[in-house]
Amino acid sequence: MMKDEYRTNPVMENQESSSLGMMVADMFVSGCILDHRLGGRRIRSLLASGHLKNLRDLYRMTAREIMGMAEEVFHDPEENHQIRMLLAETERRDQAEKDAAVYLRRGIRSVNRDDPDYPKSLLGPDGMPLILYGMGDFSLLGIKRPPVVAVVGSRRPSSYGIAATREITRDLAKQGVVIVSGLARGIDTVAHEETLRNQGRTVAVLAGGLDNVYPPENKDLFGEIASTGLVLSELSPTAVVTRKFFPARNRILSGLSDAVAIMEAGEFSGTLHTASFAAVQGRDVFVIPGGIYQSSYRGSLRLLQDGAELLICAEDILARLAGVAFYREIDEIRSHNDRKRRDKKRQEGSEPLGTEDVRQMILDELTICEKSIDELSQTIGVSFCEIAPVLSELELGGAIREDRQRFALTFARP
Amino acid sequence: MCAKLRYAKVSTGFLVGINSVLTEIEVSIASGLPAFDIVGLCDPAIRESRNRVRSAIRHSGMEFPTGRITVSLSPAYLHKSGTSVDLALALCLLLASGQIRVREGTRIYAFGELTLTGRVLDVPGSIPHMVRAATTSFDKILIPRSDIADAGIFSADVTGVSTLTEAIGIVTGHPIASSITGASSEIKPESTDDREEEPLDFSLLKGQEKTGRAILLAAAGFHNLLLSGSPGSGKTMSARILHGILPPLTKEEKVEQLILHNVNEVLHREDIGLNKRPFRYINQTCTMASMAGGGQNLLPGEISLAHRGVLFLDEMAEFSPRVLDLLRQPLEERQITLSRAGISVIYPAQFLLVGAMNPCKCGNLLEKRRACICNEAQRRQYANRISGPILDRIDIFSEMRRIDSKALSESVRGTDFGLSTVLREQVEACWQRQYARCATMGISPTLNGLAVMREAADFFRVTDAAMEVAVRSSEQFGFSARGLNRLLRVARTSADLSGEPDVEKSHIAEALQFRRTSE
Repeated sequence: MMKDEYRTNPVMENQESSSLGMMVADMFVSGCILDHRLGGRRIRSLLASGHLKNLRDLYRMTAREIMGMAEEVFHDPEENHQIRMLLAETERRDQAEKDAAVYLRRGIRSVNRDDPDYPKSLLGPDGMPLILYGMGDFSLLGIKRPPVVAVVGSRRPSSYGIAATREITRDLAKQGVVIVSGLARGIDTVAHEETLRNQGRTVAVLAGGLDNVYPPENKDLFGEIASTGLVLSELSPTAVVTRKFFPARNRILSGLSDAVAIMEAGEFSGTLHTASFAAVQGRDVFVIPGGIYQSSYRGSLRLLQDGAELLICAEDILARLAGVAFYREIDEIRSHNDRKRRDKKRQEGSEPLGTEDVRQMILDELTICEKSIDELSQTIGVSFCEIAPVLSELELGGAIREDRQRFALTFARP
Repeated sequence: MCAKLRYAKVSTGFLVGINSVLTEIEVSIASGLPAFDIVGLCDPAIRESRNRVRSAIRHSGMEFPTGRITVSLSPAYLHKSGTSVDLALALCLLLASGQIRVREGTRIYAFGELTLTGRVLDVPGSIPHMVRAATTSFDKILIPRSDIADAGIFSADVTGVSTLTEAIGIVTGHPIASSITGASSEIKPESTDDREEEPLDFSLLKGQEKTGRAILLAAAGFHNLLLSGSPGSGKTMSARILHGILPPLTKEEKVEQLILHNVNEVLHREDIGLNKRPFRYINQTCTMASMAGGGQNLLPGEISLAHRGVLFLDEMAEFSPRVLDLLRQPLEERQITLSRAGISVIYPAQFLLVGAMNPCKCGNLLEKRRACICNEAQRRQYANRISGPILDRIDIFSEMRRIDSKALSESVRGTDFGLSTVLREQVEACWQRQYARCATMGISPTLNGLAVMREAADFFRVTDAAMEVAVRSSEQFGFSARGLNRLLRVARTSADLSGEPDVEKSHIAEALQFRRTSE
């Protein structure tokens, strides 16, 4: 039915149907890429040999034309026989036509390397997907794109990892950086959510098809990202995710980005794939340091040992992206002045320290290490009665928490 | 006929708990075969008094009457014990036999133990006896000489006697010079300087700000306190310092104290003489009986001896759970009922519970420089040693760590020694504020830690904003209704200490720091 419409309506052919036509072709090609009888590697060879001009021609050409082309490039008769068998399956075309119409109506589009909307940063590195399916705003990755940073990490992060991800993502997003991540559980989810919360733009690259959102609990998040940012997948929307697709997805993550921020990676973390792809693709890798006793940071620490950049705050990345970080200086000057003012107040003793001062001093002290209330009152030089209400307030606000009668930062700093 | 039946009666008292029961001793001497019978449910100590009395009378130059002697102690249904009837019995025998004479209808009250030579000895419970006697109209009240010092407190018209001969002189109206009366000036003068410096001053708590504040709040509001801290961090010292900043006893309280301690014969007369509140140091070897009181004579236990003072439980987690659980009722009702063989007595037990415990079995959980070697299960088990109901009745929790050398040297140098005296005055003023508030509310004067109230917010004058913080925090920290109540109480005391009429947010916030933190 769709096919008829497509063939009989010349107006549609020029406008919407052109994208439908492209989508149908792309979905057909995607099917061929996933099928081992033809596969992405052979298609790339065909393109490289110059016989295949445009990827979508695979759909437009007849089986005979394709076979003629294949026989010139590949010389193994058995392999060519397999390709012939594949092309003989006409239902593939019908299926592609049917699916394309459905997904196009849902807002899913396909782009291939020749399209202007194909992410520009993927054109450089080798092995990038021939076709991408996406929902949302492709201009985020277009020629006039803002800086793009991939934020990735463990699927079961520590509270420290979550806190660090929140802070860095927020600061990056506020500077207009596009945050790319994989919509996985853990760090990825935090990164996407935090960006959205700060009205930032974010891109999710899925390992499976866009019609099979994984993990399922992130369906809502998926929708939100699609409406304000962009969701991408290399596979046709129908594809169901399996384990082998995850590392492949990671090469797109790093490929899309100007820099990769690794928030938390254990010794055998999949995040390390992203890091090695990034290294091959020439992307800067920034790594949040963890403690040596945190096994969930073993991989991160090894990356640092191997020469990755130490990531302490968002400015580390921003400085690299923009070349200068004048805003950092401004902040530094401000906090320096604050500290000087407080010290002066304390020395003079004329003006009592305000609650706000005490609060800031507590947070400063706790940043160094956790302390008991007695230690705090001694180091700050403020009596128990002054310090106790402030501590309670911070506790109620969730900024600090008590553990074995010592206070520690929760990293959920306002 | 009349000459043959001779009769006399004298009053005395015996103890039931801390109460003296008025007893009449009647002696009837009839002619007949010599016999000496004592009736009225008496225990051997009273039966033996026959021998003491016989010897004492003879040593005083009198005759022990001959004939059929019947002694009756009434009320006859109560079991009686003790040696306090000796003096009264001797006088009664002498009166009945006509060797001494008094005006018709003269009412005599006497108690005291006699030696074989006729000396009058002190007995337990002399103060309750005096108090009881003073409330009834007796013409003559005779007490052992050694108890006369206490008589001054009640301004009772009593006469102290040291021998039976003296007693005879007083009764017959021909006093011997050596006897003294309660009204005379020879009474040991009361110490006026009860504000002398404490040996353990508050300034020793330098570097332990939280516990210092906890102690002050506990004293100011009579809040039960639990100190959890490493060995050697100064928990016992803190409890003593807390004792030192409690206000002195009032006169009525002092009488209570004298009675309680007098009954048990463990009187710390010096302390009470200085108007100091009791401080009872209890360790884990304490049995149920010694904690609650009881035994054959239903004597008060530690919780009653600590009445209006400090009950300090050292190593509270090591106590037997049964002994600790026994504290539940007294902590709620502030008194304890002891029953035995048909008699039940009520002792007051309005004590300030101060518990001290290690944070864990090895004791180093809170320390930074030493590692705790307990595993998680051990820690949890140790923390659960004290049952929830007891913890529920503790208002203030504080932790203590060994202080570092710098703070230690500061605390030993003690530049501001005498801080306890200043704080004691603050605490006293704080108590007065609490009493005054109770008076305006029309309820009996109660301290915050002892208050049983239903509408706490109104009673404690908590502002709406503060109440909101309190409710929010009890949600966040999972307080029970009782927990919220405790929070308000401590906040109220904090406000009272600084003399503020309403409980503000900051008071709630401070009180929050003294909550019990779960593992």
